[in-house]
Amino acid sequence: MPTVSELPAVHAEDLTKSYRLGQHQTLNRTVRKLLRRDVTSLNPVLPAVDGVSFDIPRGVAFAIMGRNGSGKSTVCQMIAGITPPSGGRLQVRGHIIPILALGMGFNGELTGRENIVILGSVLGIPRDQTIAATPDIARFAEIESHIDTPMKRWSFGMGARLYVAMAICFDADVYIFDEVSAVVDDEFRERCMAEMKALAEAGRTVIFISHNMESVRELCTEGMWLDKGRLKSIGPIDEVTAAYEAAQHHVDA
Amino acid sequence: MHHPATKEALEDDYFSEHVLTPGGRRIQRKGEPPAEVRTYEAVNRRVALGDVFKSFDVTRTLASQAFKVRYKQSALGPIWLVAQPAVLLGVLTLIFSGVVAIKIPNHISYATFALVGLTVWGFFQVTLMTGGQAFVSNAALVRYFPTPRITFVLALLAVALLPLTLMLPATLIAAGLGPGFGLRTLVTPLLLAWIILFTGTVTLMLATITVRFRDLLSLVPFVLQVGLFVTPIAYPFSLAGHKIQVLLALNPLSGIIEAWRWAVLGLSPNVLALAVSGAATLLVAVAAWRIFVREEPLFADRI
Repeated sequence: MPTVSELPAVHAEDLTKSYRLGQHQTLNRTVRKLLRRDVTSLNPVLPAVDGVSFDIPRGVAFAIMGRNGSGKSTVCQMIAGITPPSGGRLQVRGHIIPILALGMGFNGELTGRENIVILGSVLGIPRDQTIAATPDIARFAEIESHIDTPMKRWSFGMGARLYVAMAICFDADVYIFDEVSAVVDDEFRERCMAEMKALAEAGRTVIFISHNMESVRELCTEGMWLDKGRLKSIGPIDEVTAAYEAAQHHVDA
Repeated sequence: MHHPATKEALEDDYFSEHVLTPGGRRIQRKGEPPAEVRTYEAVNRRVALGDVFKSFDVTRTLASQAFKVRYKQSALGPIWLVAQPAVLLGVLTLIFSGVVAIKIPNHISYATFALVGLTVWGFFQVTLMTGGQAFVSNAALVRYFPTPRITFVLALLAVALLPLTLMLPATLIAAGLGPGFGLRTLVTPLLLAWIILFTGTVTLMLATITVRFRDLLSLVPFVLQVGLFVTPIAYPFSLAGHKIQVLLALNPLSGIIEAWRWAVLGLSPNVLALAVSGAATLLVAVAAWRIFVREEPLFADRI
């Protein structure tokens, strides 16, 4: 029986998620169904996450590594409570802020300030906290001069900055940053990494997904490597990144 | 990158309640694990009726922003709210009072009569047109954020309530100038609750089904167009022959409009229509909730 302080932020047992491939509603499918033909062959099942068990401890920066389509984002969608598992069990402790797709959810017609209010509310942040955090967010993202301009007039990079800054400045127990550093410049990325590190030091859990092994090693102390929906390796970050990189070079060669 | 001053402060703060971040923000140190634990398993149901009330804050925010978006970069803005029903009422009056002279019982003027039907119909139509797409038009929020999804329907319902609250006083003033008020007028708030419940649950059902079947994006506008004719909005029930009256009464919206005409104008309602509407309201409310609860968990995968 673990003591209270050892309870992990995320606990997954035999976690599984399957998807049906192919198009789900087509005229072709409807006609086949009416003629009582078999339609299951149109939609083969893909186990995107296949029986994965892991613990993410509280107060660490934890990396999830893997190639495209390895199940990283699906795991994160399940941790965020956006989609339920098809099998297994998942436990998440505390409030969670998931940044799963940079820039998604912004409305171009609304200003930066108005968009922060919307995303704050769908992230479950109380309205007064969202409004109080807005100056911090604008300062951190360095977009103060644009905060009251409709976001359709912003560059994509500025929107991305606002998105990441927003997550960093809102308070939560668990944060997910899924490939957030790809479109921002080095200076901003460095500042984000420093803030994420501070969040972990202050007892929050930061789940970090990136294909950049340098960033992963700089920020995270632990991590896991997923391959085709299965867990390949989990543990201290140096071991996991070494194993992952060795496998990548093997593929390249 | 180095921040000597903040770095020092960070170390000073190590045993204190707060952590000073390199970006200069003070955040509270979290010691004890959070009490809130959520468990996710392969279950089919995870929505509770309480979500409707719990999501009040999100709904308010989404509704006010949806309202803002609708009139962004629009020269007349919310004036459109009044202009649309006013023009429609004018056209109906011109045709059914000027071209085809329809006789309304109790010497009620055609404009007053049509205003009541249009108030109810307008709310129903606008809510279905916008709210029927509540989930698909917010696909990004559904797919990437953990907010209770019922909020997207509630927000658009709230936005559609605004024109209704503008039309309602106009309707009551017209009624006061025409047939006058009575005890029956006091039933109006109940009828308001009725039309909101019926419209809201129909919308929830359509929005839910649209996640899987985009066919409704083609079907709903068409049904609404037909609905304007097969619902007694522009003409009184009594004008139709007996057999047609029975057919019209099978339209669940007919009874609701009949009830409004009774409460506001004192016109005696078609009893069959009232019964059909009452039964349909209960049926739709239960069905809509059950369908939503069953489908909601997999919205992010299917949308």
